[in-house]
Amino acid sequence: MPGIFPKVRLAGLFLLLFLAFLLDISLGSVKIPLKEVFHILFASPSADSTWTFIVEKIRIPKALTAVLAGCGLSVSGLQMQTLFRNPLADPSVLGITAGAGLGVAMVMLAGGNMATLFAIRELGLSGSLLITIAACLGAGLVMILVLILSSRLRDNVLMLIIGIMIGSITISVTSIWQYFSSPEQVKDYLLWTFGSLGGVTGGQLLILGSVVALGLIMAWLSSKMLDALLLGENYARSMGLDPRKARMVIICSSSLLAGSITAFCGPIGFVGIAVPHITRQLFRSSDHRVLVPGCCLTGALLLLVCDTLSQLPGSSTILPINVITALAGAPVVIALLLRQKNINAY
Amino acid sequence: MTSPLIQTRALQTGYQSRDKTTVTTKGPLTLEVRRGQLVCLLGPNGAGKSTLLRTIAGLHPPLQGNVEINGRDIRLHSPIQRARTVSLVLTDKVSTHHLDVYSLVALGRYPWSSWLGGLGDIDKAAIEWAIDAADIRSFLDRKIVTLSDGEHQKVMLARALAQDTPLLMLDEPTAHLDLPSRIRLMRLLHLLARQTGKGVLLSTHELELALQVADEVWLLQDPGAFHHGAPEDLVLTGAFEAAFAHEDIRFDKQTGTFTIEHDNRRPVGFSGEGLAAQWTRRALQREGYFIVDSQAPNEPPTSIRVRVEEKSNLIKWILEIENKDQRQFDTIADLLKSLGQTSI
Repeated sequence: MPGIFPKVRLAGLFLLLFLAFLLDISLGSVKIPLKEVFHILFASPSADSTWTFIVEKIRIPKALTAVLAGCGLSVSGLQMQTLFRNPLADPSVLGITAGAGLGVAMVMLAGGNMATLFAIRELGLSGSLLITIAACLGAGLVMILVLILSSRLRDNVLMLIIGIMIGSITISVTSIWQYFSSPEQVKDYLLWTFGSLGGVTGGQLLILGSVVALGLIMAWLSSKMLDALLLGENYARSMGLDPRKARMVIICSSSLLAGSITAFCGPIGFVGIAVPHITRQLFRSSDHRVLVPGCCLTGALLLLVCDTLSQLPGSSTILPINVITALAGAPVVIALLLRQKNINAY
Repeated sequence: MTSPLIQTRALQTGYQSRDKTTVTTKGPLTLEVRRGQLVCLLGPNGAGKSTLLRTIAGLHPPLQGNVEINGRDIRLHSPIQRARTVSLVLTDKVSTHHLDVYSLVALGRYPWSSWLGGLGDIDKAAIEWAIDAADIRSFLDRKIVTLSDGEHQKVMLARALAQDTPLLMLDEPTAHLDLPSRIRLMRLLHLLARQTGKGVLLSTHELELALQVADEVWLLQDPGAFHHGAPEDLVLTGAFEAAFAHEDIRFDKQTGTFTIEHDNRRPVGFSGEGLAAQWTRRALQREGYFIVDSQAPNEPPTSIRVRVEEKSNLIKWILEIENKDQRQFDTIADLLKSLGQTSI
């Protein structure tokens, strides 16, 4: 039952998130005094217009993207873990992000001529819309395929193996595309797979924000169904859950989140699998009305910290975000697996 | 008579896959559960009890015929309507980490709570009632994964009670429970049916308990045969015996219990009255002796005779062999030991 305990934790996490946000926009390859950052944030533009530009046009959008991606991927992972009753499930396990990758590859590589690529790069809003739609379509198609197969199978383990197979097929198709593409196009795609929080600004950020918000609202509305699914499908159905409707809502929201974030930021790993586990431990609850906001805050916090680390404070080198999330996320997953006696009791 | 809560019409249950149809209950079954009625579904392992329950609950499609709730086909009810009429206790084990007992019981309010799962005063009152009825208040704060099987079963019952449906269906609720808990659970279900007017349908292997509390017994037999009626009627018609018939198991119509049949049973003459005599009989039967009443007329004389004498709270067991050797014992164990040696 949501008592006072989760609310205190949520408030505490929110405060930490705020601090991490400030830290993230204060640090970077260009040294800007903390006082100036606050000045730009809360008052008027700084005397140095370069600093203003860096904070307003680069650092704040990047931090906001980190928050969005952290929220979305964590909640998407939580939904998958509950829906499939598997502690190791995350969107990528079922080939969702591979599907998004295929969508992006289709646009980036199959376009074939530089004009398409140029259009995507330069058109900004409409171009990013194209990539988002392609990625969402890719992710959605894979998910629907997985669902059709899942309706024929009752066993969740088989279901997961099939999901992994579909993911492999999708990656193979992407590889074939890469094989026949020019090195420049492949490099573009490869850079995309490293993941980046930096490329999302202005109108793109607005689109990502809207899609993620939509996905999160759907996830929040699905929390009652997710709670019922904790007891297994038979009990859930006996309590009046419509399994097909529940699956549709949960998968729809999950693929919106994972698809859009993967489209804009590239495939960011480990957040989706690690954060739900951390959140459950943190709140000692299985109530999704607590876990959904909990995952949002924990995920956003983790990704902000990862983003801060990826800038290697004090140097001008920036590591890809995917490297840092894996480095920070993997040990957490390993520690959790070693600690939990019963791995099936996710 | 009130109208039945649930009614089956020409029902046949089983599984249908692409190229194969497996019939588990041939039927056609025309059955009903009424308000205030406790129905026990009995049958050997693999006879199709769970499939029948799941079909009646609307979780599994029937092969033929239909199931009606309040006079309307179950498939025409919305999932929520169905969940407000039938609640289930299944054999599925819930092993979700961090799920506490109260939250699980509260999930029973799913078909009644708001779209986000918010609980109102009526919901909370129903949860409190269910907690007391199932007697689980002492471990309300524990996590589900830390519960014993028996506690788990009680919590799942409380969840079903919180769902507040006129019909309650339980799949082997007494499995994993110790004997007192089994009796208590059956009595609780019996009382629930009587006092709240709920219809209760449960599958069980507890024949003796079922005979004591059931208003009606549905008896599933292995090759698809089916009997239903008052438990006593089923005993008298021999349906009970037939359902569980096995080479080495015998159903005693006198006591309503099953006994293990032994090969090459040796006759033992027996005389004695009272409690001690009764338990001595049981012990002899258990050891595979065939009891011949010594006092009964027209019985062939037996070479071995056992006599139980009770004088001023002192019980003596006397063993006579061939009318000459006579031994006296203080316990049944000693008697059986000596009897075993003479048998060789």
